[in-house]
Amino acid sequence: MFLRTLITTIFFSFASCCYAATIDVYPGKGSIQSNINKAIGGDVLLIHRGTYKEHDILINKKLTLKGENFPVIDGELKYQLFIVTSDSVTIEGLQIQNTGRSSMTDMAGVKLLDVSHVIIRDNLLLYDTYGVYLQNSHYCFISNNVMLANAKDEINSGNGVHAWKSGNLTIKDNKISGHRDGIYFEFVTYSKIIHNISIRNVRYGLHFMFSSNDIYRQNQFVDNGAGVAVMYSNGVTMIGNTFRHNWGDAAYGILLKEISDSKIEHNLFVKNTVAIYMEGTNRIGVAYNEFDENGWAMRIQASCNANVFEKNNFQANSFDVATNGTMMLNTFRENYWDKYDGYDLDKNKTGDVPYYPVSIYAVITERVPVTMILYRSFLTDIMDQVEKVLPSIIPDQLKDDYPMMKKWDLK
Amino acid sequence: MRTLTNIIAYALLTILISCKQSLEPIDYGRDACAHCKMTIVDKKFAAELLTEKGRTYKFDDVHCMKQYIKEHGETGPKVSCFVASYDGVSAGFLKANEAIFLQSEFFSSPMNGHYAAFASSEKARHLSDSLKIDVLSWDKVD
Repeated sequence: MFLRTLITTIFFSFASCCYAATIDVYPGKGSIQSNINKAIGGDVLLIHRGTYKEHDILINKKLTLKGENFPVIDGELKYQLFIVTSDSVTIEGLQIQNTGRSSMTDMAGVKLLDVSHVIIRDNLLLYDTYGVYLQNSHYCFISNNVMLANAKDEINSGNGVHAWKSGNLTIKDNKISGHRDGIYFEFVTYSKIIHNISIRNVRYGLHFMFSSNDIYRQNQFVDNGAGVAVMYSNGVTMIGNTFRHNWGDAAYGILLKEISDSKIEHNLFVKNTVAIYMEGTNRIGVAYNEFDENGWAMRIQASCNANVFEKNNFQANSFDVATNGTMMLNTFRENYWDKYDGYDLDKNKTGDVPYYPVSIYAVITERVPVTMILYRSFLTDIMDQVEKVLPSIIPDQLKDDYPMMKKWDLK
Repeated sequence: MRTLTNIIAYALLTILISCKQSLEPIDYGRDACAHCKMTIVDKKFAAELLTEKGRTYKFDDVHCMKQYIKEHGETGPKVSCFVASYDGVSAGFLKANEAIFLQSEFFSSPMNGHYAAFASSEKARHLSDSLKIDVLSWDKVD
């Protein structure tokens, strides 16, 4: 009996001393920083509703910061806000707003420096230069945040999610708008970008630089200044994304430059000036995509090799493919082209004569851009017909030998 | 007769003015870099090239301009290069061969050239001191 009581007492005393405490934080009663300093690793800081005018809040131990009804942490357009230097920190349910604007330091709502397993979720990041800024950080989880800024009027604008020299990140279900680039990756590997909505950012919805073996899928990139750019990277998988209305002189659904061994599948490209622009890209598989109502569905520079374009739908694009070379080292097969007017006598569902996706006018405007002014004139129709009978200008190795008679069902 | 001379004089003047080579202002957030195709947004690192024929090319990074010059052999006596100054956006563009450069990862420029341009070595001093790096001239920029 005695032994039993003893054991129970010991058990409970251990339990109570090891159990994470919850510390309540109210506005005006001790700062968030002073409560962090008092807390020990594993504690939960419950931040209650109100406005906290604090800045450079350093989280250097394993804490969970939890907001109740979105308490406001305000940087008054002068300061940076949270700086996380400990692993396994969680920040959720806060409204983190108005960081400073500076050309010397990158002011961020939440800055992660050399950490891993940090979770940033369900926050509102409003009018911050950078929303979440990761440097040398791994296995972090950024989900369900709303990041809103007005970078257009700023000289020192920043990105929604900015990651540098990081790896194994998951960026999921965020809504990002009004930043310079929605999501920016530089030297980031083995990361996933899933189900985010990135709209009306000043430059790119998503921007990859020197980042390899990453996946982005089921994202929506709408109305960004220049669409999405994937540059100087390899092993990037892009699946199931929507690229809509990225419109302008230098705007692209996807801009691919110097990238190789990647996949672009099951994406939807609607109403972009150029849906896919490729320069210096090798061994990319472009399959099962839908290209609707774009200016150019694809502009492929002569520096591209061994790319395969198959089983895509091309509909109502002004130009299906444009190129400045012959592109004989790339393959087109089994695509559906709405401009194809061939026949299928053997009823094998593919046309019996090849389709040449580069129209004569695409070649001419590529060489002399101002001739666009005559597009859709009577003259160009005549040229089109003549070229069909006597091909002389269009690159004749560039053709789809098995054009589909019916649209692919990609839904 | 006099009016006719005037008209001719004005016409000649207009022609002369329109032939003068000049920089084209960069429309930030719209214009694309001639080398890397990225949209130019960062006013601290922009650059512009004026060729012998008087054409202008815009760049988002000094590194892009150098690469472009190398690839296209734009090296005549009349070719002039301009760079944005790192510290003052309103100060306008500097002549590249008169500017002073610093290179450090600290600047994190759009294409990783990491060059910042300054009007004089005095203006670059506090940064070169705090980053402990030496100033460079235009021909050392790569």
